[in-house]
Formats: sequence, structure tokens, C-alpha cells
Amino acid sequence: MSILKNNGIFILENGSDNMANKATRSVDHKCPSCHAVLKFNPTDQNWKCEYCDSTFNLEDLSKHEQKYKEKEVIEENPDIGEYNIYRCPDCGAEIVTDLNTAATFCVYCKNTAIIKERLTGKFEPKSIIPFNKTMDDAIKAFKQVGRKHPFMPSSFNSQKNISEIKGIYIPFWLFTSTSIGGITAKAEKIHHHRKGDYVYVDTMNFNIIRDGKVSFIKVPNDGATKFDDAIMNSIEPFDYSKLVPFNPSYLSGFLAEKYDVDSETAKNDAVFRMKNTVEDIFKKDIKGYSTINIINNTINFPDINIEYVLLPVYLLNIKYKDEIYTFAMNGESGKLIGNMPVDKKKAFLTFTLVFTISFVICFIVFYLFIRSNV
Amino acid sequence: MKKRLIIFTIVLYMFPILVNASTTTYERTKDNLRIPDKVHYKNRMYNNVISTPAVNTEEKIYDFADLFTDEEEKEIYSTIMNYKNSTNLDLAIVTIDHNNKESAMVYADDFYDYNDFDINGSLYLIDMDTREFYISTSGTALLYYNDYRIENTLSSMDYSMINGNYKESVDILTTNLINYYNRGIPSGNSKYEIVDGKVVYKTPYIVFIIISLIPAVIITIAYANRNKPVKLDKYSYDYLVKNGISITNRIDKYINTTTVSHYSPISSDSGGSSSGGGSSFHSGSSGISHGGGGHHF
Repeated sequence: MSILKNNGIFILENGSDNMANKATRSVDHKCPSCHAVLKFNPTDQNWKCEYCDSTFNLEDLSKHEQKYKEKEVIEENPDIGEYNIYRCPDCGAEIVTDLNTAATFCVYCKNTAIIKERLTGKFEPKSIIPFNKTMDDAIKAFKQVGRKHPFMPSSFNSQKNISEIKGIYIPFWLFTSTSIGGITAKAEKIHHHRKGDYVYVDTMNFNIIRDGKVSFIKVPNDGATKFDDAIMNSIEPFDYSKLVPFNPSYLSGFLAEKYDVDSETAKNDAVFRMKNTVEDIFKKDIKGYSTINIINNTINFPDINIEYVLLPVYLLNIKYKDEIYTFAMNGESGKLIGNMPVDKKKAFLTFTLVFTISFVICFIVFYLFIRSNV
Repeated sequence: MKKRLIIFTIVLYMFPILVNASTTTYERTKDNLRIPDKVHYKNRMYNNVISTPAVNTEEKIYDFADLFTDEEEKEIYSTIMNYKNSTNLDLAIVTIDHNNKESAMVYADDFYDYNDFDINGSLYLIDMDTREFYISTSGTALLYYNDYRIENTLSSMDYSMINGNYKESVDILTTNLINYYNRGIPSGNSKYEIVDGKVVYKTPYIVFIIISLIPAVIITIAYANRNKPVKLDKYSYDYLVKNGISITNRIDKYINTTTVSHYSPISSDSGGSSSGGGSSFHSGSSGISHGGGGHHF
């Protein structure tokens, strides 16, 4: 599990602001009314000033944007191994990031810091799904996680086990394509019949072809090696109707990453998934046979449209009995998922209970219906 | 004259009771049916009970047809005692001239049940009325002496019976029974046990354990798996375009048929009378299970 290995020092605290600042480009807008820092509010999908209660949408902000002079973090010591060190433009403190961090916080003044070159040029996302769920939603969802997990240790979903929680915009590649080609298969219909003391097995052999087109839209594949692919798969799907053109303003209050898996590499994974799906669809279309063996597969995706987007994810690190369990929540749909330990005592009790009940049922059925029926 | 007639009447009245010097029978009346503890009496049994002689169960030989000499009876008695000591199974020998019941089987079953013989034992009946000799078994004797063993025993007794060597038939019987007892309960009867005189299936605890393990394991594993929901998705069904599937070419081409055959005879029942087979049994009028069988002579 490679998640969070370098980011641990940035622990989020919602709405903690201090002096006004102009961090980088257009992030951390100042409130046009009172000059306090504005943060993105996922619930209302706008920017809200926590001091004077004014709210602004993206349009309002862009009107004010030009009035502020851009100020970027100053790169102090470029590329020392796995880390970069920047200087916070507001308080002058050092900001340590790993090589892929695109947006983070100054650990001292808590203001959002964006590393511009990691969000521009080839790293500029086409669009973004802004957070729709708050950190409180994520905590609440975690506290309710036990409902469908009878073997979860009772104290596992307690809030005090959340050792770290952060909202991250994770880089994703989206692949849109239509397959061509198909599958060739050998299939058999097997029929048994008896003549006297002999059993005859007739095997009818068929050659099967299924050919056609199957279209996929925006199959996602995460572009950051540090996030586990399985957990990213598990919080899918994202509602793409919520995609909006990328604007760095959405990053205020959250962390962001740039991709370190290029689109070609990510494409292989997405093509693997799409190809499996098409093969499965074709295979399910072959009906009425006893056995089906695919012998050739010519499914391919000649034209693939690739988009680079940022998708919202909350990552929760749960510390339970000295083990770390990672949970992820889809920041748009609210789907929360993560592996958890099995309470052996509960498992044993359930096993024993089911066993005992079945045994008693066997006993009753035997005594009522079978025992004397010799 | 009148006095003589009364004495004669009394003697005549006593005659069926004291039919043989060595056989004591007791009268059954409505108020004292002399039902042994092993039978749970019900009114429907009345006719069967009242038509069954009540005897002293210690005598073991009830020679109503007078087929044995006193000498023979003594010998048979000691053979039976021998048998009883070595097998712990009871045995009674009954001979009759007249059968007042439906069959030799019913007579044998009733005689054994309505007298206080041990629940585990056999009765050998020589019915001169129907010319049938019959072995009735009950309790564990039923389990020891399966159909095969009974039939074998009867067959080896046929010759003696046809020739009127009744004593010899008893000797063959006891020898056979002891031999079979020493071979143990045949496998075909190992699934049965006797409860309250009735044959019932043994409680198959091992089967219960196996059956109960199935849901317990399935449910426990299913619940445990719920705690590991994080999985790589090898499909992308979520991202199919609506109406985005068009299968333009569907070919199912028949090539040929291959046929193989193998010899597999229709399994037939080997017919119950194998040496390891089970017992066929019926319920007597008393409700107690009986096995056994008989031959005509």
C-alpha cells in the first residue's frame, strides 16, 4: 500500500484560516468583502467566507481575480531525491512535497499552495469533478461502516481510530472508445442416452463467431502509482455529468496530485478491462451449449479518446490495534470502501450458532419424519 | 352320578390348561390380561391377547403338540440355557396342534410378545396345524438374524422337519443361531437400533455434523468476505454506452457429432438376501417389531 507515504505531514483541518494571502495563481481567493481566505464549500458547490458569511460562485471570483497579483511558491532546492522543498509565499515557512504533489498546504499558515508547473502544460487537467461531500460526510460514513459487516470489531468504526483524513484530487485518465473485432469459439452440445446396458454420449461440435461493436465512455484509470488500483476501482463509478472545466479554484482546501503514470501505460489497463468486458458480453451471447471454449479473440480498440481529469477522493487512514487500514470515499457519490479486520470472536460465535441451529433442525427433522420410518 | 358328572366337568374344564404335564398355563381374564411390561396395551390388542396362552417364561419349551419326549425336553432346555448364556438372547420353543390365529407368524409373534420373554430374543414355532415351522425374532435378535441368516437356518432345518425329526431341527436351529450371533450384527442392519421393541434408524450424528457444517461454513466465509470488499475490477460494465452493444455477426456453425459409448449396466437390487443384507420386519399386533420367516413341511 503506497498511499500517503510522503503526505502524512499535512493533516487537514477544515476552515482554519488566518491572514489573508495570495498564494499561487488564483487559489485561495480573498473574500471581496472582508479579505479573509475563501475555501471551496462542497455542500453548496461555491466559495464561502467563514468570517462575513458572503458566498461567491466561480463567475464572481473571476471578476475579482485580476485585482490580485499572482504570487507563486518559490522553489528552494529543486529535486532532492524524493522530495521538493518550497518556500511559502505568505509566511516564508518551508513546504516539503513529494514529486507528484500539485496542491498542498503550508503546515504553518494552512494556506493552500499550488505548484504551478504540476498543473500546467501537459499536466493541466481538462476537467474536474469538484468535491460534493465534506470531510464530515466522510467521517459520518465511516462511523456507519459496520452496518453491513457483522464481523467488524465493534470499536473499529469509532471516530478516534481515524488517524488521518484528507481530501485529494486524484489524477485519472478517462478512455472513451468503441471496440471492433470479435471472438471465435468452439462449443459443444452433449447429449446422453441409454440403449440397454450401454450409455451413449453424443457430442455435437460447433464453430461459433460473435463479431460487433461495443462502445465505452470514460473508463477511468488512476494516473498516480501511489494510490492502490484496487481501492480506486472499488469506489467507482464517478458521475461524469458532474465534470466541469478545470479551474484551480476548486483545489482550495484540498490536496491534489499530478499523474506519474502516462496515458499510454494507463491505456493498457483500461483496454484490458474493456476487452474483458466485450469478450464477456459476446460469450454470454452464445447460448444453449454445454461447453464454450474461446479460441481466438480479435477484439481491439482502434480509436481511443483520452482525457486527463482530477477526481475527488477522501482517504482515511484507520489505525486499529497497531495496523493501518486505508479507506477511500468517492468525493462525489459518497461511496466509502475499505478492508477491515475480522473479529474472530464474532466469527466463531456466528459459526457456532449456525452450526447449532442446523444441528437441532437436523435432529428435529430426523426424529419427526425419518427415525421411525424404517 | 351327579357328583361324577361335576368332577368330569371340572376335569374337562381344566383339560386345556393342563394339556401337558410340563407346561403350565395361566388363565387370562378381562380383569387380568397378564400383559408383560414390554407391551403398551391398547384395546385393539384384546382379541390377540386373550387368544394367546399365558405361560411361565422360565420353562422355555411349550410342547402343546407333544412332539418331544420328556428326555428331549430336558436336553432342549439345557441347550436353550446354553444359548441364552452365551448370547444374552432369549429363546422359546413352541409346538401346537391347533392354530387359532391367522398364521404361524401371528401366533409366534403374539406368543412371544404377550408373555414376559426378554424383548431381545427369538421364538421357534412348529405349527402342526398349518404344517409350517417358523422363527420369529424381536429386539436385537432381529438385528443379528437378518433375512439371509434366517433363510439359511430354515433351509438347513427342512430335511429334519420333513422327516419328523423335530428335536434335530431344534439342535440345528440353536447351532446356527449361536454361529450367526458370533459373527455379529450384519452390516445391512448396522443403521438400525431397537427402541421400545421397535426398529428405528440410529441417530446419524456424523451426518448431522456434516450437514450442519455446510451452512455454518458458507455463512461465516460470506460474512468474513464482506470485510474485504476492495477488489480490482477486471470489467468495465459501468461505462458501457447505453445501446452501445451491437453484435453484427452471429455464426453458429454445426461441424460434426462424435459419439462414444460405455458399458454401464442398469444397477439392480441384489435382492436383500446377501449375507451382509438387512432384515425385513413387520410390526406385531403388540406394536413390537418382528423379523423372521418360516417354511412348510
